[in-house]
Amino acid sequence: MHTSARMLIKAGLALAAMWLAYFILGGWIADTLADRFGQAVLRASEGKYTDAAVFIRHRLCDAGVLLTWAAGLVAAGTLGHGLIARRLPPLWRWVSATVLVLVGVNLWLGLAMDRALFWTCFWSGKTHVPPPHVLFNLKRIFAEEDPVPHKILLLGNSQTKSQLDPAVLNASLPRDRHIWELHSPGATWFDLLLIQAKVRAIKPEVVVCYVSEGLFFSGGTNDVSSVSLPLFFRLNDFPLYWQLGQGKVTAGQSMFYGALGHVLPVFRLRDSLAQRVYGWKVMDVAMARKFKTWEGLLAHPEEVARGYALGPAADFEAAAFEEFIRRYEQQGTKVIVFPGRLNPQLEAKLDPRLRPAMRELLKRTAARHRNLIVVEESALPAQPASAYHDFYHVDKDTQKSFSEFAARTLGPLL
Amino acid sequence: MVFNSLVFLIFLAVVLLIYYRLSFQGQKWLLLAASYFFYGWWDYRFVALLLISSVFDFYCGLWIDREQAPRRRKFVLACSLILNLGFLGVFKYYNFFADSLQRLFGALGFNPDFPSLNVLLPVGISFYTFLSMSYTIDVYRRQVAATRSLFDYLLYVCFFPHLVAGPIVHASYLLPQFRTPRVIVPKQVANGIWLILLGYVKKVVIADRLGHITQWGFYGETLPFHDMNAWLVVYAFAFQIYGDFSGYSDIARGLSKLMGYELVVNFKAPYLVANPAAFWKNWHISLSEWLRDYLYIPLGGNRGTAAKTYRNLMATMLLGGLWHGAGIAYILWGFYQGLLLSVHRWWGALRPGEAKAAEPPKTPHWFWRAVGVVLFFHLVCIGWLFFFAGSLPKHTSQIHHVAQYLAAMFRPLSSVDPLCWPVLLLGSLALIFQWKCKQMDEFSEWPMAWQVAGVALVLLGIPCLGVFEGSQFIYFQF
Repeated sequence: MHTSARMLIKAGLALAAMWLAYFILGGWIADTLADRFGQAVLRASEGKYTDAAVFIRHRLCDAGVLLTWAAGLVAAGTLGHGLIARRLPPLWRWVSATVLVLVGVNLWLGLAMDRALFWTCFWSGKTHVPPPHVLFNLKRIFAEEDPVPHKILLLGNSQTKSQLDPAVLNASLPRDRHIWELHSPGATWFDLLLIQAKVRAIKPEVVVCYVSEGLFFSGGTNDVSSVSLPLFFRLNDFPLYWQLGQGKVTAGQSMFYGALGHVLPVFRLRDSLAQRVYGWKVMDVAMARKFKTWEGLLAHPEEVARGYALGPAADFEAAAFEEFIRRYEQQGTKVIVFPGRLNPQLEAKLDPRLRPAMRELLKRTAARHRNLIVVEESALPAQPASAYHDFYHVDKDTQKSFSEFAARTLGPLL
Repeated sequence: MVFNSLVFLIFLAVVLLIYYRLSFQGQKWLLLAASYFFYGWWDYRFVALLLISSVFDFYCGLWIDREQAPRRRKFVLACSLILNLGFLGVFKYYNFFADSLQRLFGALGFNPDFPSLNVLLPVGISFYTFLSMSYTIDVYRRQVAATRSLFDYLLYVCFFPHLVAGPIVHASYLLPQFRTPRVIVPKQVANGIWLILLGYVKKVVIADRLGHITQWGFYGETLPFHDMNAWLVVYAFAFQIYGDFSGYSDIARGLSKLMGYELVVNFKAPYLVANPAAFWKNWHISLSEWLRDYLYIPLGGNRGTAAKTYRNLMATMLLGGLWHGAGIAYILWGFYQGLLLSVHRWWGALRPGEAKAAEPPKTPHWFWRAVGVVLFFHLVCIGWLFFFAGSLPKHTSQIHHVAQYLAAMFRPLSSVDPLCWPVLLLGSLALIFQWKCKQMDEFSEWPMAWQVAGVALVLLGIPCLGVFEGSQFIYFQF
């Protein structure tokens, strides 16, 4: 028998033995490890997980699945190459083999991106925050796996994370309910629509959003590109984008990168992988220029305010918002919205028509969709400019007090 | 249109699709049109300049070739040189010299008003003027026969792979290739594809990533490091400029191979040599040879006294520095390179009997060779500090910045900065490419497992670890 065939058979047998061991002993191993390390696991997860034994069992399963896929793809690639290479002149055989390797790696990555164990490879420790995409996927998968019966999600842009502390909210909830925060920096409603599809498997009972003008109007006049698009856009989202924008908006490069990332999952990993390979400081250095521009803009709110406008992009985001609510209505998920604010220094420079337009849209959509609950704006605690450390994000004390207010408000609404 | 942009990839795909379906003459027409389109993408007005320079030099070449009277031949050559150097002078150097003279006269108590020119620097002007000048000089020296085909000559100058950043290819090397139909061999195509991929790795993975560190380290208002960690920024720049420029050359050579043409090797292993003479045989080889053939040797080379040889070396490298940019920092960089070459020459002359010995010089022990390579690399890095200062904004005191860096680089290390890892990693990758530079050119000869591993790693590495900001190549500004 050919050496590679013998190797494949051996690998197949080893995998079969591994899975047999998992099905017979997996539960026992997970329980034993959870008895010994459960508390440490739950402490480290910082509220992202509620059951250590389930967590460990899933990680064992991840390891098995990742290995099996790798072995399966190597086997398929070897067979495929054997078939194709015979038909090619020797000089070009490397092309077919390379294409098979690239397809195999991308397929494996595409599958592995739904496994928490894979994402933990990009974890860079507590002192240096891993890229948002890594955190998002870890939290998403943990939320999917967790056995808690009633799941609640916090969705939105970085303001959601800045305003709402899930630890404070979870402390006020009964044990059968749990909140996960799944924000995406710089997201707008179309991004949240894409994220909604990504988190479908969580089947949340309630979704909580902190919204401000940023989610509706930050696209300028007709450009809807965002930092989230390259991470979440898929080729099959194109009809939705076209339907919502009716050809009046552009997303250019970020959408192209998103589509490329869908076809080549390796492309979606570039920031996470770059940080893993080069270390956190390279990313900090790369961001330094942007932060410098940003810091410069802090003294010029009028310049930042110019980026918020009514127009085709705002119409597109409004349509995306309604679609977001409609889809959750179909799933039977309640959406609770806190109509929040930006830093008053920036708000003072915004087009005065924006806030009323946002209020009107929320009111109109709530009237059409019964699953949307908009918290009374006047009930929200006032946040002076001193509570913000930039135009969007509040300090820790304000976050705590707002989270306590949110916990009191959410209690009767859940 | 830069090689690392989406628009270039589309352009290339269209050109190649049509190219492979055309006859030889059709291919040449396509290449000419595509090359002018490629150049005009920056600014269509630049095309006029390129055309004027090329057409003028073509007719100068014809005239010189036909003319027998030495004085008339010299006159026509002078016309060609004046036009080319005139373009360079007006577009690249006028403002620098006007500003310098203004300051000089100001210091002497006069206040003449030299008007400054508000003109864009045409991309790659230094490259194509040198290319064009080399042609007329070669014809004058009867080293090459003037081409009778304007079409071939225009293509020789504007051939888009080498137009904006070289290599500066001699007419005797490239012009004959435009005369004979191209036979596209699979081996050549495979090598071309590999060189293009390798070039992109050098550009987007090495150079642009390290570019973030150098931008942060050099352009800040204050120094990021006040101890030996400052070397990290200088190392980063050394590998960035290597990745950027040799990456461009690789892509240019790869593109040419895809169309059946060959360009000269422009980079070998510049950071793995132990002396300045070897460095210039490995770094930007086509420019080094140009400076040697058209400047150093006509000045007298090493044929006169030792003093004259040192003078010629210094003059060549000073002008080489000035070629890179109109600024005092570039001149100082050229001076520094000239100094290194002179000291190396002087040191060589001091070693007893070496010049006279009939037997070849002994190869030093590997340990001493390694020490020499490391020491010389650091000398090169100090030179790069001047070079980078040349691109600092005008208001920053370039020399002051260099002095600050030099002072920091020799202060004791407090703790190793985390940037050490990426610089070490990407620097090592650049050194591997240099160490294996010969093998990098012979992709089609590799065993298949290496070919697959190499291409797969490159194709995975570019999207994963590359920087996609469409940044310009450093040498475009020259």
